[in-house]
Amino acid sequence: MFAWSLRDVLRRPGEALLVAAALAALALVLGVSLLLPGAVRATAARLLEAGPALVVRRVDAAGLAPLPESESLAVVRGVRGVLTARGRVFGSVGGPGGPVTVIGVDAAEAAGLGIDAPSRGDAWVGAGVADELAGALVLRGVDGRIVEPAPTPRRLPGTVAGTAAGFVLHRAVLVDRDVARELLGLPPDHVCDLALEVRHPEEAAAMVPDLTAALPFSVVVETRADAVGRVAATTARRGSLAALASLPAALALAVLIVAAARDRAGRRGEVALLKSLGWTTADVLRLHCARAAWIAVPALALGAACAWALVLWPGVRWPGIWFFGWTGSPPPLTLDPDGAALVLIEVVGLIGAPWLVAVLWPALRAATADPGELLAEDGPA
Amino acid sequence: MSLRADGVRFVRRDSRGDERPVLDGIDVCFEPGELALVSGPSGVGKSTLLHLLAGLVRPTAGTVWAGEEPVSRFVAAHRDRWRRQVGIAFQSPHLLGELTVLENLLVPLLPRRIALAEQRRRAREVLARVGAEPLAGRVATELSGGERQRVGLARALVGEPRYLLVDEPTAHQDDAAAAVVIQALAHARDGGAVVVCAAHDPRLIGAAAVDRHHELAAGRLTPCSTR
Repeated sequence: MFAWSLRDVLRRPGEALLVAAALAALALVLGVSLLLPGAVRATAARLLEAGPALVVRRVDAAGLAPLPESESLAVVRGVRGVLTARGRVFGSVGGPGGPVTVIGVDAAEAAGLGIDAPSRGDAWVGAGVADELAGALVLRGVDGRIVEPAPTPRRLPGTVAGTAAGFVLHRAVLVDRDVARELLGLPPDHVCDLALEVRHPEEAAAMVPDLTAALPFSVVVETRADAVGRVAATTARRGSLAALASLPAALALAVLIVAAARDRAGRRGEVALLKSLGWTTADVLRLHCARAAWIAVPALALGAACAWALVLWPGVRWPGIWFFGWTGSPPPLTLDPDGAALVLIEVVGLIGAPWLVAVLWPALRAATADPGELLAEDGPA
Repeated sequence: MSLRADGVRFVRRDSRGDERPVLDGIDVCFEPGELALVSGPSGVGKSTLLHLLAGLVRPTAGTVWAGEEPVSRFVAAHRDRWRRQVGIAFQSPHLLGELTVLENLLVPLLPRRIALAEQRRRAREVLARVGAEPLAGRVATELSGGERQRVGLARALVGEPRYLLVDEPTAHQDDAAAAVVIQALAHARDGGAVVVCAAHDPRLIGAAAVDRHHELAAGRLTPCSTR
């Protein structure tokens, strides 16, 4: 029966191909709109989970302000529950192909990445910056000053690029801390913020008032959960743009379903003929199921695979450009295996199930009617 | 087992809801090993009688019996299974246009779990019996009216039915082809099948192979002759 159903599909190869192409296109659009926000959210969450438990930023009337490093660290290390604290120097400056993130790293941070600490006249660059370099690295600081931190910067090794840190460092330049301060216009011994690790991460939120009270200037303290939520909200907003693409897809699915149902309803005479030749209702439904499977399974698999490749294939540029504004070759997005499986099930369920119903319902109705009446309706053949 | 109509009445309802009686109190019994002919003018209800006997429609009143089984009162699933014992050739053969003749003949055998080689052997055998073996590889839409009719008969025969119901089998046939068709019907009859043939072709009405002849007129069946 299964082999025969393929022969049956090939009775109208053009029609079968058209339906398969429509189903594949729907699976592609729906798959992308479901995979993309999930992949961005999962990737961002993975990064932030690797980030500090608390981030302390100084604010004044003009907005964010640098913190005096030694003084601030001494204060926060005295707050009960703080395990480690370090100042961070980073910010956005003009790079060879657009804005880059300049990060001042000390020996400990460099060791954490498995690289040598850059000294003055030396720099490491992420893959996104390295791809845009055509000679020496030249950066434009916040005050418009042109700085050439390294005549021959080194590209961050692949061992870093594959990690969560590597994702962040894609469009980054790692330099000596003092060089970074000069580029960012920070006074000596000042940092952009403080990154804190705490003894009990679940109590990080409870420490916020203590930290705010201990420091002699106004600060905002962000917990890891706050950061994850902020990024999730941003990606959800952009993800909803991607989801808009699924609206015409839903309309197209409705049209396809109506067309399939009308087509099957138009073939009631064929079902009646099968019944008059000794086929049972179950035989008829088996044939229609198998026929639907020959078209839908490869089409949905192809559409879902293309959606996966379009979002998660290494080297795919558009999600990075759309979500993060990257211009170079971005690192890959990631998605939990469970997440990808769920999306595939969703795609199959959202498209395959209604389509199967549209195909089977008219066949069931025809198969349960009196064949003689339907054959009379169908006329001579 | 015999095929019997017991007080069968059939009223057709058209799209406007008007009712038209087609058959009105049919009482007849067709025995195994018998070739029965039902004749009558066009539109008198011969095809409807065959459809009723095949379990394709339900009578408005009365019962169709296969042996001791009330076929017309079976639930749908039971009737579907019983119908595998029936071979029916329609006046319009209803061949599946995009398939070859051989493939059309395989259609009744597909749900029966018969090996494909055996299916093909049977199909070729019945095609030879109706003189249509050279047509095996042709697509159904390319056939002439007479050829389609013979292929329709072959499709009815391929399942080796216990009840063979045939509607105007000699229509569009020349004399030689009509003789082959009548011979095929006689072969089925000789194999022990109940063969009921609806026709108004004089070549069939006068055929020696016909065992019993009924005339259908005004919704009633009247015996004409018995050999």
